[in-house]
Amino acid sequence: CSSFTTSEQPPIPQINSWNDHQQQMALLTHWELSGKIGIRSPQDNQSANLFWQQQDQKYVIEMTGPLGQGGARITGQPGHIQVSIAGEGDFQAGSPEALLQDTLGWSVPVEQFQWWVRGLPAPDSSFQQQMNNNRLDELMQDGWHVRYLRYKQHDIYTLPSKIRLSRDALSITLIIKEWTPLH
Amino acid sequence: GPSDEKLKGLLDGYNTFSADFSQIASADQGGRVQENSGSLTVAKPNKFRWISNEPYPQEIVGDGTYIWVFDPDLEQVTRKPSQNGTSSAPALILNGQIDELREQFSISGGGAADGSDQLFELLPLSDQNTFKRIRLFFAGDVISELMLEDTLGQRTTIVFANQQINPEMDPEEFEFELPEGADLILESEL
Repeated sequence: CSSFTTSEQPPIPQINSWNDHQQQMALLTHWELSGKIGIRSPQDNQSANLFWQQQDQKYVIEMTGPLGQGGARITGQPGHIQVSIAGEGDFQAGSPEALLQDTLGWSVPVEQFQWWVRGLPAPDSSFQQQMNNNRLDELMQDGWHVRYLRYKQHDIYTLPSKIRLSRDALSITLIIKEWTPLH
Repeated sequence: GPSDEKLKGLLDGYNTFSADFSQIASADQGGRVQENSGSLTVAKPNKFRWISNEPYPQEIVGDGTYIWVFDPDLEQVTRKPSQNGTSSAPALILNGQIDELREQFSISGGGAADGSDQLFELLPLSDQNTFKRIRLFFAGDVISELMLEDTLGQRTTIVFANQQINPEMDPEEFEFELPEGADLILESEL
C-alpha cells in the first residue's frame, strides 16, 4: 500500500501585476533550483532528482537517479553545450537540442527553458499565453506547450513549483522544491 | 579473493533485513547537497522496498518480477522488468548477490579482524560502469554505510540506522499497489 497522501495546497501567493512580475523575474539572472524531473517519451521514461544552477547565460543542470544511479550533467552557455553521462563520458556540440536528443533521447530548447522555468515567455520569438491571477497559466512558444500547474512563494519571488512542458509525444514534468536566488 | 569471501560471508548472514536510512547526494560542481531520509526492507533473493520521505518522496519496490518506481510529486509509476533492475550495483549489494557483483567490480578491503568494523571498496572492472567507486562500511557484521560515486563525481552516501537482521516479514511487504490517479508507465523487456 502507498503511504503518501497529497498535501493540501498552501495559499496561492498574490502578484500585484504581470508587469511587476516580469520585471522582477528579469532581474533574477543568478539562481539555483532543486527538485525533480519526469520524462515521458516513446523512447524513454524516467524520473530523476534535478539540480540547476544558472549564472546569467551559463548553466549547470544535474540529474541523478535513485540510489546514485544514472547521473547526467549538462553544462553550457550560448553557442556551446556539453552533456556528460555517468559511464559514457562527455559529449559536446554547438547546438544544444541535437546533442540532448542524441545523448539523452529527449531534448528541450535550453535557451528558452531558462525563461519558461521562471514563469516567463522567452524573448525573441512569438508566443500565445493564457493568464491567471496575474501570472502565466499556459504558454505556446516555439512548438512547445508549457503549463504552469503550481506556484510557490520564495522570499520576495513567486515562482513556478510544478511545470509541464510538452511537444508531440514528449512530456517533461518539472517539480521545483527549492529556489535559491544567487546575489 | 579473500575480500569477496569476507563480504559474501557478511552479506550471507541474513535472509531478510530492514533499516532506516539518511541519504546525502552531493556533487563536486556547484557544491550543492540534497538530503533525504527513509526506510528500507529487503528479502533475498530479489525483493526489496525503498521508501524515501519528503522533501524528495519516492518509493521503489522490487517484487521479484518487476521493479516499481513511484514518484508522488510526478504522479508517475514506472514498472521495469526485474532482471535489468537487479543488475544495478545497489540492488545487488542490498540483496547480497556477490557473485553477480564480482562480474562488475573488483572487491577489496575487509582485512580487519572478525567482528570488528570492516571497510570494503568496489572498483568497476570496465569504464562503461556508471560508478567510479562504491564503498561499504560494516559496524561489526552489520552494514552501516554505503557510498556510491558515479563517474561524474556525484556522490550518494547512505547511512543506515535501526538495522534489523532477519526480522519477521509480512508477505505483502513487497507487493506494489498502484496509487490512485498515478500514471502507470510500463517499460518493455529492453
